[in-house]
Amino acid sequence: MEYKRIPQARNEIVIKDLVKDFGDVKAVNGLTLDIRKGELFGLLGPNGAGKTTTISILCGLLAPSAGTAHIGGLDVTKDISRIKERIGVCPQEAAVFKFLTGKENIELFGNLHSMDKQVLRERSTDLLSQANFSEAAGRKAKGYSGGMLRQLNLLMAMISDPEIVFLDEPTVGMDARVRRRTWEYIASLKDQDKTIVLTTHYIEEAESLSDRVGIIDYGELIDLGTPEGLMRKHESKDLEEVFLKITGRRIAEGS
Amino acid sequence: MKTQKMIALVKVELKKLYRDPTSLAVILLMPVALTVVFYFALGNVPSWGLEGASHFEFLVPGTMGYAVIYMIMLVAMGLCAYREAGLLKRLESTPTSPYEYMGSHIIANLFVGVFQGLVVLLLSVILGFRPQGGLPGLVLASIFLGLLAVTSVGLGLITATIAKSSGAASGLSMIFVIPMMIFGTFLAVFNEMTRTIARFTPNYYVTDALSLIFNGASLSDRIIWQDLLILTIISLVVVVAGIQLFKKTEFR
Repeated sequence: MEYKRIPQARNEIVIKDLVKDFGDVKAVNGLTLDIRKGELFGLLGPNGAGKTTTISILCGLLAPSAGTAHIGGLDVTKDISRIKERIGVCPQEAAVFKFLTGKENIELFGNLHSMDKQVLRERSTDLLSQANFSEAAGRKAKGYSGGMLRQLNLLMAMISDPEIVFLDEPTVGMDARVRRRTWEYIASLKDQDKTIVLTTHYIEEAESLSDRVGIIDYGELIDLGTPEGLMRKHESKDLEEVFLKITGRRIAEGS
Repeated sequence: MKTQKMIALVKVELKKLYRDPTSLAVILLMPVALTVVFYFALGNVPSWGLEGASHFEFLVPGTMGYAVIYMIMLVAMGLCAYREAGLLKRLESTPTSPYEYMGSHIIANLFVGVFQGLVVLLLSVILGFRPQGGLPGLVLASIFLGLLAVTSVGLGLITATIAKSSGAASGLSMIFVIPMMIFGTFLAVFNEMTRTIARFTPNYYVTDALSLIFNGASLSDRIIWQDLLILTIISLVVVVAGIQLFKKTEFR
């Protein structure tokens, strides 16, 4: 599968010397990173590397301890209300209202983005149809399987047609068929000029979808480039090998 | 504040109540069951506090308020469950302000509180209670119930701030519910000591005012309006404290 295209040059997300402390633990440690408009950026790292903390800061859920982060030229510490109007967030856990139907969950998030009623109805219908979710959408989410909850989780993030999308491990728990279909959907978002930040533990997912990949560990950026560029640089046959080489070496250095 | 967001969130809270059997039991079956039990247990017992009436009739105004105070537990458990499911964080990542979110809780529960109280009243009327005050009295009683619902949401927010889980919220809410149940509802006029203690519970002012309204006092009675003023102040203080505490811990 080949999903890549050349992103535009303008930086949509600019992170500079970002730090987030939780007491003695530095979850993010001087992270500096630019993500271009229209780019699908894969943020990779072992568990606890600081991926979710970084996304939480960008979404306004956590305040940075130091450093700056700008989205579309807006400061996440000062203009977060305006930023939230432009972003869609698919969190790591399937955060859905289980007593609501799938459609009600999706439309709720459209209303929270103040979408026009007619536009919301049309977009909700289109989105459900694209995701092959129309039939399940009329049922309460309580009865959904783990994979269906994940799909709904993603659709709720996309209802407002956001310019910038944060996908935090969006395909965990999906079966191979649904995961593949979700990858195709994520790839189609790039054609809509959306900027996407994707964290995942499926390295194959990042390799096939991402224009560029940033690998972080201990809250620091340890390598950055296109998947092909990283594979060449580290003389590896795939991105997983690159990931294991880089993060494995750091573990060995640290021990 | 955007009306569209608030309406959407109010609808979510109302749907939760009628789609979740536990919530439905607490908001509807509990007051109904309590009223029926009181009717059969005390319907023929002369009142300790109201001459010529049964003790069931004497307890109706207090029971109307009592039906509302369990909202403290429901709100606290609901918010903790949302927190556990990651829903509060998710809502925070949308352009919804904490005030829109918590405001929607207050509005939804205000409707529920008035509804619960009126269910008790309707059932009591079916069982022979004859309230005075007419429609103006009913409207005034609904205002008291609404204010008590607002207070209960505030106490629910405070409970949810402290509680780490929905299970803990259920137990912790009893710190508020039990004194309100004992002193504000049943022992409010037992003797001067219990009345003094009862004055520290918000629902005492509901019990007191509704007793006056339904037993034929003039609606311009100074005590009724004094109760309304005190309950308004309590509800404002409690709900503002609840919002501030919950916002501080859950929202940036």
